[in-house]
Amino acid sequence: MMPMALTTFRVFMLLASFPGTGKHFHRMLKGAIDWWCGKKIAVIGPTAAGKDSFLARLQNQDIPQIHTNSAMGEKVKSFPVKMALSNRRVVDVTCKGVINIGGETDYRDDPSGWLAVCQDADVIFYVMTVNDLSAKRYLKGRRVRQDLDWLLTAMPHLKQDALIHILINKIDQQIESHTDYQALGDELARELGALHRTARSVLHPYEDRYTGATLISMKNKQVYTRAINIVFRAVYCAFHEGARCRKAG
Amino acid sequence: MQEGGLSAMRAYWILPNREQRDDILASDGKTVAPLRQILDPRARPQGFSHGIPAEILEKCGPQAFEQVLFAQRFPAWDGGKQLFSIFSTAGFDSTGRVVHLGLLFVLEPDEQPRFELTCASLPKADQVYARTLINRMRSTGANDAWARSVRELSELPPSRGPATNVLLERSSARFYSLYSAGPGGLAPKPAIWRKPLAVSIVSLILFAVLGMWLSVRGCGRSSLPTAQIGVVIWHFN
Repeated sequence: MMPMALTTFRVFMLLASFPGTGKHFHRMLKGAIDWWCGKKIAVIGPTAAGKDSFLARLQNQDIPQIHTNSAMGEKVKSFPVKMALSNRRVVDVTCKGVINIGGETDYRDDPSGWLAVCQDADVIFYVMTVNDLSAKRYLKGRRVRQDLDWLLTAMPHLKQDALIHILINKIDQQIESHTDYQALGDELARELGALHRTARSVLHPYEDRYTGATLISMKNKQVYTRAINIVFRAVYCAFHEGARCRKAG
Repeated sequence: MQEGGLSAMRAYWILPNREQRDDILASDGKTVAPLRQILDPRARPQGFSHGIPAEILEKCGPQAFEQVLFAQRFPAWDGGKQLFSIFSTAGFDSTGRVVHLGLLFVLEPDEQPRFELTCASLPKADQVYARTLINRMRSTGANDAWARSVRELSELPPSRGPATNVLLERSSARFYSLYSAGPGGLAPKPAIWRKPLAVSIVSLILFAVLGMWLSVRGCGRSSLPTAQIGVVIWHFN
């Protein structure tokens, strides 16, 4: 028995002495731990903004047939998100511990509501609608702004590297109801800029965690595919390259 | 809201959010106000539901939506009071999502909810659902398994702790439950292991004991040919 154990130990020492083996082993171990832990995402936002639909899309499913106003926090079964991004990066994570929750302010202010959903989350997706953007609900005293204020107060209780990304859903409805796309584009760009500034100033000193706001449509698969690529590129970049990437962006 | 109004029981309607408002509305029968003014969100017990959980509706299917009732009971809430709520579906909101109408009772520890409520001051769209809910809860309901399950829940001893009439598998809070829901309606809750961690631990212990027994047995009989004991034993040295 002893010579065999000794031989194994010698082989291990030999392999460990190769340049880069330690690093590789460390990477493997980290990968295994990451796989085991998975990533936790939180999806919050006002009622009927499209939170359920976003969770369905992430799971590569169609918008749920039975659609209900979410009545309580409900656990979502772990699911994989595997996506090749346009910049040749690959997102390959298992989303674990996701909780689907309602959007009324009652859920936000309940300690076992949004806060419980966001705790331990690696990425928080705040889903709002393009109507919220057009109606400037990011201004003081209005719903989106109140939610951003809430996010700031929640930040100290969240994971130290948690990222926040805003999804502005239902852009397909705006596109369908407009004919002058240039004017629509200009208006949206202006509002997006204002939302962006508001989010950064409200989230200060945590503004580095904010990775941007993206127009999206959960309903329209083409728009969703384009938008989610932008979303994950921003989130991936912030995750893997940190502050340097955000500065460059 | 309460006709007679002699006991400590307080009852409120929780109104369906048809207009996709930012807050949930409630009514004491006279006025409509945000639910948060009646029940502070910070004081709501963990797992408090504002409607029928999606998992129950998914299990029952759309054809059973009108029959489904979901009830929760939180004994020993806020200084020994009880919180009791019942929800039914109440049609759809402007984007076709199912919305819920509820009754919320704040009760003394041994008090039972009484359905002596009026719904005359509720919005017209909600009155028909409110009347149906009250009638179902008042009737003997020999054929209404859902209403019966709510009554059984209200009669549970408080020692059972937080409880629901129907088993919840996706709730982040734990509840004692009476029935499980399915496409066929309500069925008595099956006696299944619901604690995978406990199952894993028991399995591990069993495997460890089995492993030890096999190794002891293997060592004791190592002089026998391996084919006889059915286990391949590797001898080093």
